[in-house]
Amino acid sequence: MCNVKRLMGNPYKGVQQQAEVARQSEVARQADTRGAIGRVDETFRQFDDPFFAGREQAYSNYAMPQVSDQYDTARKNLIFALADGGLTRSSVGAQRLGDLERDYSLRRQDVADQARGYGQQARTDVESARSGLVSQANSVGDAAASGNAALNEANRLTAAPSFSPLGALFQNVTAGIGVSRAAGDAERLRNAGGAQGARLFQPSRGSGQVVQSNV
Amino acid sequence: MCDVTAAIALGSAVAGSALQSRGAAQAQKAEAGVAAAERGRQDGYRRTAMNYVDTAREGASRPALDAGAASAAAGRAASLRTAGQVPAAQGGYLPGMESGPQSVRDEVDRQRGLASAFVGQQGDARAALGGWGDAMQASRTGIARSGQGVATEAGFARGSADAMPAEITAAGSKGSGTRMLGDLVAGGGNLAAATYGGAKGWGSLFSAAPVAAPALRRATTGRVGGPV
Repeated sequence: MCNVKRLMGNPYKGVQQQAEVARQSEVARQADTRGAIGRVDETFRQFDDPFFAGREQAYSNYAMPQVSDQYDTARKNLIFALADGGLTRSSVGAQRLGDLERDYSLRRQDVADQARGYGQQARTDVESARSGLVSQANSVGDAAASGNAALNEANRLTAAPSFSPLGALFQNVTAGIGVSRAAGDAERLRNAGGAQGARLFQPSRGSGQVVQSNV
Repeated sequence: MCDVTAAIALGSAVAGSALQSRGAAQAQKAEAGVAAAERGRQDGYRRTAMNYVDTAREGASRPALDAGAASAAAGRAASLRTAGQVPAAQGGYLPGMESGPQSVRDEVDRQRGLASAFVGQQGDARAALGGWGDAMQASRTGIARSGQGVATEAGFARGSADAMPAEITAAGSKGSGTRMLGDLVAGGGNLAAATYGGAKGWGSLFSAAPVAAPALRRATTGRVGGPV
């Protein structure tokens, strides 16, 4: 049989070579694709739990001192307002201090929650970038190109994020204390004056009159 | 002379037909082998893809989500409780309270207790909400990665299937030498029949109705013959 082929040549040799080339090309393409995905995974391995914890800590380091600073200022304002109103040693002062500390704790929790949110957002961004690169690897199967693209994405993702500054957090700490003080002053005046004439702003006793206007 | 010629012609026809059949069988076997190999590869891609889907489905199941949410919520709750504590340096009574009535300090402590309970409750509630979100995000990530894996395997399956037609064509050429030899042998028999039987062909050798030689050749090979 081989002699016949040797004698006449194999007219199907080209077809068989084409089939071998097609299969080898496909095997090579799949290997390239797996390699490209492997390069992407290797590059993105740096985005692990400690990395995202670092993102969270970065926001905490940014925001927590601001909250702390605002709390210190608010506490000072409360101290002055209570002292000014003579309410430092009062249940009102105790309640205001409790409210302030509660708000401070909640704002600190806000920061911790927001920090976790930044971490989760970073995870989403990283996964999205990784997904895009894997799609490219599936389409192209070029390990070198996918590796470079992965590095570029990784560099972009590790860049410092921009955090929004915090607004005013403890605005209502001393609200109403001025009213309390005015009420306290009025009470002291009433108690100290005794006589009717000491009262500066007496309530109306129904002596008002209606004036018709002819405009 | 006619008997010998007839025997040679008949033998050649039978041998040629047998060789052609053998060549055709070789081609069919090769084609079946190609198809089986491709089926095996496709099964492999499908199994791998199904593994991705199964993994994602397990991650998205209720028990897995509940477990993930509980774990994430516990982590968040611990973090929020720590964050919710007022640092000692920033706490304490206000100036003047220390020297004031005990009832005021008791009221401060009572207010702090209320605040602590409220902050703790709020922290736990936030943690539960966030924990569920964390679990869902992890599940979505798993599903997305599963999708990427499935897409990869689907691409491989397409590429492998695309390479198959060339392999089938090449497999069809298997046994071509045998078929070629069969064609030659059968052709020799036909030539002998034509030479010694004259224009009457095979029929004249057996004193029967003439049968056209090409028709007999097509009937025996079952495949398109090679060059004769």
